[in-house]
Amino acid sequence: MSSPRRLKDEDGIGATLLRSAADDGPGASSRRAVAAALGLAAIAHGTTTAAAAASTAPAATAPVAGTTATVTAATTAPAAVIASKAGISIAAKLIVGLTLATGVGVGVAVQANREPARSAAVVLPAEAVHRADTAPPARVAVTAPTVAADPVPTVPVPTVPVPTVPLPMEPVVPAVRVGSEPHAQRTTAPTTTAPTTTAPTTTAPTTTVEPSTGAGARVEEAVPTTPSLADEVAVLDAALVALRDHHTASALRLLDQYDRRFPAGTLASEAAVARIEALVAAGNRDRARALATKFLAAHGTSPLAQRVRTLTEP
Amino acid sequence: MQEATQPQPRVEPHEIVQESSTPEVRLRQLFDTQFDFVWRSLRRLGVPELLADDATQEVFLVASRRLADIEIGRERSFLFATALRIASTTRRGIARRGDHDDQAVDLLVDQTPGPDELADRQRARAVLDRILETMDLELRAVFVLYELEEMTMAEIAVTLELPPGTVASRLRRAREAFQATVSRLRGAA
Repeated sequence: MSSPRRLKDEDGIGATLLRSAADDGPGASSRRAVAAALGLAAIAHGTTTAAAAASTAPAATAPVAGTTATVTAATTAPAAVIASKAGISIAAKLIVGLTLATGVGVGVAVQANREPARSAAVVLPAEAVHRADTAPPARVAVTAPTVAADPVPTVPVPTVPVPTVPLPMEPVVPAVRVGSEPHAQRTTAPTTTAPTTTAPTTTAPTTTVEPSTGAGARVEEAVPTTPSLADEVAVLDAALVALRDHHTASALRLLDQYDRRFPAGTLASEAAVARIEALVAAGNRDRARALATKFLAAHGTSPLAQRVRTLTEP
Repeated sequence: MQEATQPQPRVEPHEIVQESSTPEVRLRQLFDTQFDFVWRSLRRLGVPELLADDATQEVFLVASRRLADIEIGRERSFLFATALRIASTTRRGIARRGDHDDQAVDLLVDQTPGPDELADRQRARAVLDRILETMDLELRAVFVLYELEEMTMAEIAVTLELPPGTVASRLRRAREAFQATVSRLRGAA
């Protein structure tokens, strides 16, 4: 077997193209996300830190020490690659995508076979996973104490032991719901420093809580690049592919991602229809029907309306 | 995740995958050493970036279920074969094109930027993806392992469990297909 010289060591466009593949690799966040999903938490452990933060219940009778979980489990989603495919004729692709996906229809039985992996393995609560998917180059660090709106910087902490850091072997389970988007602080910092809290020992210490945090959670994530139609197509396209392949959970996550990144997206209707379809595939017909009703009320005359009706017919 | 009752096996770096390893240790080892390979392979076999994490997870889930069946030293082979299967499922939905669908290539030629713009690596990568997509998966597997993963043909034969002659002929055909598409790009530029 004589081995030919590798093409990338030669000159020309072909070599340039092949060399470009060297840039394509998983980000650290991919590794962490997959490790966490597989339950290989010890690998992710270094990135999954939890610090204790104090919070007070409004009534102040039973101050509860909240936990701050820093979840760094994002999928890198720079939409570059699929975006390139977007060139093909967005409309045509979408129509084809939707049409093909119809064939899938209510492939629940098949889907049940295809999906066990994900549903069984993902340990993060849905909310956290979804959020982690949001940011494009993204590392989403959710620092989410159940902090009260109280701007008073010092909070008396009783002798309640501060919750300890989750065991390295434990899957990441942030018990905290992330605050609503509008309150979220966005910074370019890819990583978050969890607010440090001095661990109380014997005396009743005071813990300073950053007043600027304000009410609710603080979310830091990389600022998304200006969304373009190509980005929209990339995300929606991926969702449609996932849907077609019966990866319903992935499809829904991608659609969540779409909604978050492009709240007023050009393809919002298509995304809405894809979601209805995904919900039907997931067996969640009630929710599908509710969305369908909403969709038809707003876009009753849209070319997509008939499709929505068909999808949610009893 | 060791069994509490089981003593932690002492693992020397050079003998990391031993029969005596517990399944958990072995899986973690596999994950640590092969994660990048699996992820890259999936991408190169046509899984879009947005789905690559999910697909990688699937590969390792399969591996974790079949750990006992994976021969020592044949881990990569197993993982790549699994990746190939998963990529083929994922890809099926993406492009229902023929192996060397002329239309697909024409479309590609139309939309490919000139050589100057190819200097932009990201763009180049996107074009490479598109070229690879026009390739039959069997050829593509050999092509990416040789040209991108820089395996030797012998290693590829082992990885894909193919006779060396088949590897050689697939590689030759894949390179021809690749070169032909590239010449068309050059001609169009």
